[in-house]
Amino acid sequence: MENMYDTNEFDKELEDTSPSLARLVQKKRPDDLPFRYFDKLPDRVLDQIQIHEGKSISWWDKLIALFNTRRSFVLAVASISGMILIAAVFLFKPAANDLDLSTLDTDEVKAYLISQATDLEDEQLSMLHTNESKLDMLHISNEELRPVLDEYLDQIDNEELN
Amino acid sequence: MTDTEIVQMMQVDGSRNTGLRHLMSKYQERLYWVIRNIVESHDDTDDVLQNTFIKAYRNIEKFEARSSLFTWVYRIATNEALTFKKSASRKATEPLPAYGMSIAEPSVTNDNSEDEVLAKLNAALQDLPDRQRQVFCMRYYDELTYDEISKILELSEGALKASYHHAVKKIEQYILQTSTH
Repeated sequence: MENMYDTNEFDKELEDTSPSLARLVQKKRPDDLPFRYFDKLPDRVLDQIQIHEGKSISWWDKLIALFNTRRSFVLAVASISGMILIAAVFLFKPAANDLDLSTLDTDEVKAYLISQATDLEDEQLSMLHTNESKLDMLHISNEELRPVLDEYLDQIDNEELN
Repeated sequence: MTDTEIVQMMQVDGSRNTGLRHLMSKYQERLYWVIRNIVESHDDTDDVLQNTFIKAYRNIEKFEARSSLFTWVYRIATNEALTFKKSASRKATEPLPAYGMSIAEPSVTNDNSEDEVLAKLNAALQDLPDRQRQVFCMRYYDELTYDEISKILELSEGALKASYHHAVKKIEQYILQTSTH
């Protein structure tokens, strides 16, 4: 390993010169270096050089380089992203009474229409019968709905005749 | 890879980055501890070390091989660290302070608390003549060879060894005297 050097040489020299001082004084090397710090450092320095020299690198590369070189930047971005995410969860949470018509079963819709048809005015029923485009949003085909309406109109006619 | 090869690579456009990688691979760890002894925190050391290599990269054309490559980047590193420390205004005129010192386990020392002994060591260092203090710190804490120190301070190795020896003896004497009082 090229970058290794013998630290004992310096400790030994002090030990030889002054054993009592060598026992008293010790070099302190904190062990708080990030994992593989020295492996990653060359890439980080080269990224910095590219940024400072303003070479034609994309904004994305610059962003990645910033992430690689500045931990404070990473923390800031992570914090802001977290806050945005939390806000989005609350803002866009679907209301409990929101109804997605596309999820309804066709048979359920038919049953509902039949049950509610008595509350509709004849004019409204006639409009529904003729204006088929309004049914598109319910995802019910004309073929499915027409017999139901016909049956109901016949029923009304019969009641009136009686 | 030799220093000469590294310098040659860094002075050619097509291989500058590779040359810088070799330079860092060879010296980054030593320089890290040199800087860390001055600025103390890892994050500050990281900033200063990056700046050191960026400066070396930009100024490699000015390197004239009158000193070794290491002593050249060592000078850049110590200058950067001292400038950083000064601008941070932490402690205005602290002459080469604790410098990575710690105190050995109490069992091998005496009744002094760690803080007391550390204070005495700092006082002993500051009581030294500038040259002796500088040589002691460069030798013991920065782990420079006498040859490297010789090129940085432009002094003979014999003179440096004598300075180091005197420094150690004075520190030892200072500690012993203050401990017996």
